[in-house]
Amino acid sequence: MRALEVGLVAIAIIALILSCIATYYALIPTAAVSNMSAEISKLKGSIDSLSRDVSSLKKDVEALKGAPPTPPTPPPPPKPLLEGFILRVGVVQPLTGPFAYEAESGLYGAMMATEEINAAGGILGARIELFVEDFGGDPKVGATAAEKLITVNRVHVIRGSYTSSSMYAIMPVAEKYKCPVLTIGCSAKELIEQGWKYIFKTAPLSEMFAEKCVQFLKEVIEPELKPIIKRPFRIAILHDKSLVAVSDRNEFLRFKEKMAPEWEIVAIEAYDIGCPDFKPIIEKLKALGVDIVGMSSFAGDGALIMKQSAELGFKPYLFIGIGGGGTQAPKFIELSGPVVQYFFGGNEYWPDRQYPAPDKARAFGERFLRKWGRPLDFQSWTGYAGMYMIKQVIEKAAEKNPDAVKRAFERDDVAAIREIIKEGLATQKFYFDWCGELYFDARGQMNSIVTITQILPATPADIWSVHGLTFRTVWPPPYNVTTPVFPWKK
Amino acid sequence: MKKGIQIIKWVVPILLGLVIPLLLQGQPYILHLFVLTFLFAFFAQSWNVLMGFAGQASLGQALFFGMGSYTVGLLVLHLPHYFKGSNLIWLGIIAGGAIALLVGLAIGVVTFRIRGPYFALATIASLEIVRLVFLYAEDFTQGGYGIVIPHPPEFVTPFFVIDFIEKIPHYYIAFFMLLLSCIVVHMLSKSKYGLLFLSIKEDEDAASSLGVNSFKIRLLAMAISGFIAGIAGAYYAIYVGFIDPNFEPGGVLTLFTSVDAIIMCLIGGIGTVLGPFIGAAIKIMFGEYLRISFGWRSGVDLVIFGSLLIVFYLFIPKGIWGSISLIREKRIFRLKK
Repeated sequence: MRALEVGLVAIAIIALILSCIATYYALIPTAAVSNMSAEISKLKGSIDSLSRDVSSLKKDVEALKGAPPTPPTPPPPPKPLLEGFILRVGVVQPLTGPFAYEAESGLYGAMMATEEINAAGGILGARIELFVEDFGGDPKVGATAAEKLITVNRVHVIRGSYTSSSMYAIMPVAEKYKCPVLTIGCSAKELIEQGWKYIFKTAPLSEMFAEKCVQFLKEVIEPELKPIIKRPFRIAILHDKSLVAVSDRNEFLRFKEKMAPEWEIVAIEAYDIGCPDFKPIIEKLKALGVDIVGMSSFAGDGALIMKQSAELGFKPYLFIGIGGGGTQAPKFIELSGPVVQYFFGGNEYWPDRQYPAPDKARAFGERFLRKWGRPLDFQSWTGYAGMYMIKQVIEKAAEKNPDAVKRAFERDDVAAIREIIKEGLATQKFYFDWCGELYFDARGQMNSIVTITQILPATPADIWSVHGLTFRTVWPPPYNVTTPVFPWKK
Repeated sequence: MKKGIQIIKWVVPILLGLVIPLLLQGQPYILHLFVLTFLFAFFAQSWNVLMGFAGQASLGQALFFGMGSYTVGLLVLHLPHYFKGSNLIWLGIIAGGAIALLVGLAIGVVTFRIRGPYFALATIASLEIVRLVFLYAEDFTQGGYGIVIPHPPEFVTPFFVIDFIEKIPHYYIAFFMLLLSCIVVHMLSKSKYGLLFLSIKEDEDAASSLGVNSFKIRLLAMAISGFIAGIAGAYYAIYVGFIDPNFEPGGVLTLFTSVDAIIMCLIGGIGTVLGPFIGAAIKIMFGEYLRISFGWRSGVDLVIFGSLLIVFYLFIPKGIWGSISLIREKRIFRLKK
């Protein structure tokens, strides 16, 4: 037993030392490697040029031999500007832990776009390489991952990181090294109020969701419901204690005061994420005679609220998601089951919307479902769109100043490439016919379009459904594909 | 000769620790890992004092860590004129330790009426109560919004400038914090109070029957442990720059953080001076190696690390340094025989 103890202790110490050494050597600055790859690219260019010369000489020799003249071959197409170079993109996502499903969606969107771009010839010939880091939702590990991506992998841009709290730990690292961060997720308004210059936030702000929800309740629901209840709405708000949900609640209350001060907020119930039992809260709301329940929840919590409400016979006139959280995720329908039919919610992207090219939006959704076995959602679309934004940024920069862009890639001038991406994201407008025009304002916030969707019975034409239900965009025009179904009329 | 060997045993690692940043210039990522290792070794040392030396199985160590973090956060939030973006925030570290010490005393007065697993459960309950209070007291703590703590500005003197955005200053701060904690714990273990802690750990009733005021001694252990953990939490808040009370991995007032300290001590060796450092090095450095090697393959790194922990608990229950110390003691005993 003693020998075994000694042996195991020795093995543990040797393993620790070896792992430290391996980590050190694995993380030797890639500058030397990058310089070598730039040299190799140059050599490749020279070899290509030489083989063209040899082909030309061969033809001349044939001509001299008296062979019948061969038809002149067309000149080879011009070499892409950035052929042989690599654009390094870091992805920091919580791929394990409570946010894994949504984080994977974002990563899959980025991966699908990367494959498509590389298959179509890359960005002016440059191939995109993704460096993926899982931080498990722990902000300090997120900061570690960002430090590694920026200083060791020398990525040109970072995508991530789903949770707003982890961005607070990641952004100081990115700001220090002047590395642009094009987010996937992260809806907290506070992220664009810190004065950071290198953040480009794709998820809509809480205020964008709140404004649309209040507007919808005012313009669409109130005319239908007021004749029945004959008084202002009595509204209850349920939300978890995460940063984004608290923000959603505050913004909803702000817009309600601005647009419908006569509505009464009869209850605001906050709960811990992962709360196992909502029945006491639901019983309380039932006793208060609530007309409308506004929710900001992760998918699991939202599903439990819906199921337990059905169990207890709690039937307000409607439930509506007031923020951009889990109630806009397909997983919400999957976990809730049929009880979630007629649920309204703010949604930042759903492929059925009347986009400029709805058939392309639909095709995008079908492609994603085929590839990953899960529907396109509010995380995967930003993961996808962001890669094409980066592509457009570099193409535009190369259009203006091709020599400078080529020089930056030739020398692997990471700082210059990061600045090109940062300036492009800050100043350019992007157009995708499957979702419309996108751009970032001076704070770094993207102009996402929030619509109201409703969970309705699916038809065979729908790309995705579960429990016979799917999301349908019901408001506002011109994005809606159908009109809302009022639950109290069913 | 013996004293010379003792001095060398301390001097050599200290010199190595001082020299490492010079060797790792241009490697901020590795320096960052060292900072986290030293910081969490310092935090684990707090649990080592309470459990390793005094035998009090607390699972609420994150309570003191979180109190330290929130002391710094609340200073920034409510006194921004003095502390936000100012080097005065470093005073928050001492304040964090002091607040955590007082909280430790308060918790101890209530929970030391019970022992063993019931005491452990009471510490978890205390942690959760404080976390929920901080989560719901939005006007005071900003609740789920959390608190952003800006990096302290450059510290300018006529002779040098310390830029706290760089890793090297943080390396030395964390290194000296750990060194100080090791010296304090070593001196404590050799002192009268160390013996009193040991007596409580071995048999509290027997110690009481011999006139040891076990309640006071337990409180002392709790106070020292709380002070060290509070300082660790305060520095963590300044280094990472954000704290929130949500129940997520890495949350400053969560069981996850308490368990981190426990794992580090168990791997390294409870009741030893160097055990927390060795455990922290394995958990953070080796854990990071697993994460970058296997991490994004759906948590394979966590499976591997968990399996290693099980092997440790089964076959090396005394931890690495604990086992080495035991082997050395047995050899010395056999030689003397």
